[in-house]
Amino acid sequence: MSGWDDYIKLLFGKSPAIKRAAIIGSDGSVWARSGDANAFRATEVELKRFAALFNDINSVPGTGADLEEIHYIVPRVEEKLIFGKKEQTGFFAAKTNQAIVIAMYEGDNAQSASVRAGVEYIAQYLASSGY
Amino acid sequence: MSGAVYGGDEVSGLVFDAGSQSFRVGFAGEEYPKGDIPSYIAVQEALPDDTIEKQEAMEEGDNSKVQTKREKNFFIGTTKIIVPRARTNMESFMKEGLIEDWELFEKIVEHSYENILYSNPSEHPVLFSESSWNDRARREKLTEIMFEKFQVPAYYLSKNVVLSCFAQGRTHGLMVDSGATQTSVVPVFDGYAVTHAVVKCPIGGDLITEQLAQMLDQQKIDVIPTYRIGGKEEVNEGEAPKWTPRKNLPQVTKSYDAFMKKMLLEDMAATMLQLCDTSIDMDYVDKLPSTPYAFPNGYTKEFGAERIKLPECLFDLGYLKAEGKKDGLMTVAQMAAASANLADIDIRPTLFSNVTVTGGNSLILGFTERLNYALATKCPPTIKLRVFAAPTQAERKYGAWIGGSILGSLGTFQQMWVSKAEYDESGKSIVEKKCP
Repeated sequence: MSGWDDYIKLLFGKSPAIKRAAIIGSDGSVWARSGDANAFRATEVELKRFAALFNDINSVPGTGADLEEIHYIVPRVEEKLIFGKKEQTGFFAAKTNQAIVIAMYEGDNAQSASVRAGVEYIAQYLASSGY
Repeated sequence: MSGAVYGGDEVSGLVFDAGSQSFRVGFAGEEYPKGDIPSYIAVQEALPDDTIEKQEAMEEGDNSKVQTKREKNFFIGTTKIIVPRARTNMESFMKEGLIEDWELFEKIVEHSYENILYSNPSEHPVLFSESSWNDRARREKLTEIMFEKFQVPAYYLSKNVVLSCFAQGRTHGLMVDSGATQTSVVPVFDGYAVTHAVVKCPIGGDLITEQLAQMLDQQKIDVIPTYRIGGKEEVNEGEAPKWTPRKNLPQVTKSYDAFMKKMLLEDMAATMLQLCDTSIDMDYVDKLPSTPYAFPNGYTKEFGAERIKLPECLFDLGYLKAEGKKDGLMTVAQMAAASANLADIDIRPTLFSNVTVTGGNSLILGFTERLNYALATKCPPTIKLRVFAAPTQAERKYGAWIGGSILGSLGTFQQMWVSKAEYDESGKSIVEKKCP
């Protein structure tokens, strides 16, 4: 469904720190991903495992999360949000009714606030559209 | 995102660090807080004035609507609260590290602006510290109060352990914060407090003060606070004291008396107590030189073994003399190990090699060494363990404030403030988004 790619574009527009992004279903299937130079590198297997993390969100900080074969420390989770970081890079993942919006970013803590806002905005929009 | 960058160099921010024992406030960029006032406020009930109430009823034209609202007098600051007054209770606005009484809190903030900072609230951005276990409702309430009531132009809320970590010049650490009411251990990684790994216990300075009071009670030593003493004579050590009570004292409340006794006990604890470097052993206790303490009523006594045994309850619960209070308590070393184990396994080595001690209660002589010894037995043998502590007394007590001062004056921080415009646009929930 090419419509989903537009959301990726929208997500990139939310913050210059976002480098790669994807929208995946709750089962780990890919609905859209950023491509070309900013290809979202996570594999299907990884995404399945990642999507499952949202089922027991409070245990995630204890174990961290893996994406694109990099292990991220998860200092913070909230009701439908996982925030992972590793040195100067990190990711935000927000869960909607059927999907998960993921954005990988590079930047410091100040920029991460804008990444978070962007991810939550897209997730909110999708949720209100029924997805 | 409007990306509002709140103006940088000219206007200095204010840093507020509220604790259960004291409230620290000052300007960002400075070395130490301008004001360090006790977190206790003396609240005096005014006398009911019948004539005024009746008049109000007549003006309203309806007796049932009259509220018997009595004006209370609030006294803030060390010099004011220690004065004995009638009908005056000592109340604290904090409980277990969280703000409970918002009316008192507002009063203390007003007092800070008027009498310590001499500043107009609407001209300075404010940086507040919070406990790592602060809940969403309180954070939003604080945000609301600062923007609505005090009309601050910009605001930020930061965890106090993260600020203490910055004050030490680091962004990672297993922060062991031993304060008056609580001792807590929080892992900080890359400037973020790992909130799910927070371990806290209600052991701290206040508990030690209680133990001290019990010990003195057992030894039949009267603790007479200074305000009751009119005059005293010099007596030899150990002899019964000779003192005359002060005349014309107003009828003070129990809470005032308890507070003044507590101040005296805290002074005693600060001068006398010491912790053993390793687990307590009788040889060390016997060889320990005894220290004399002179009570306000003229009585002096030397204390030897008690000096070591009292604070031992922080590291060995067997020394805690309290009925029924022991459930769910942990020693400081146990808390540190538990907290590190709750964190991601990858960051544990970083945490153990950056254990940082902060908080006023950690100033007890021997605290850092003892923690080092106790933790060495609890963490895996392959891990490098290093315990850091700020050298000076002020840096430990004001650790969080100093970190706030550093953060508030950083160039890169200026874009992180929550501005009034953003608050007006998004409401108080913006604090969750912008201040993790």
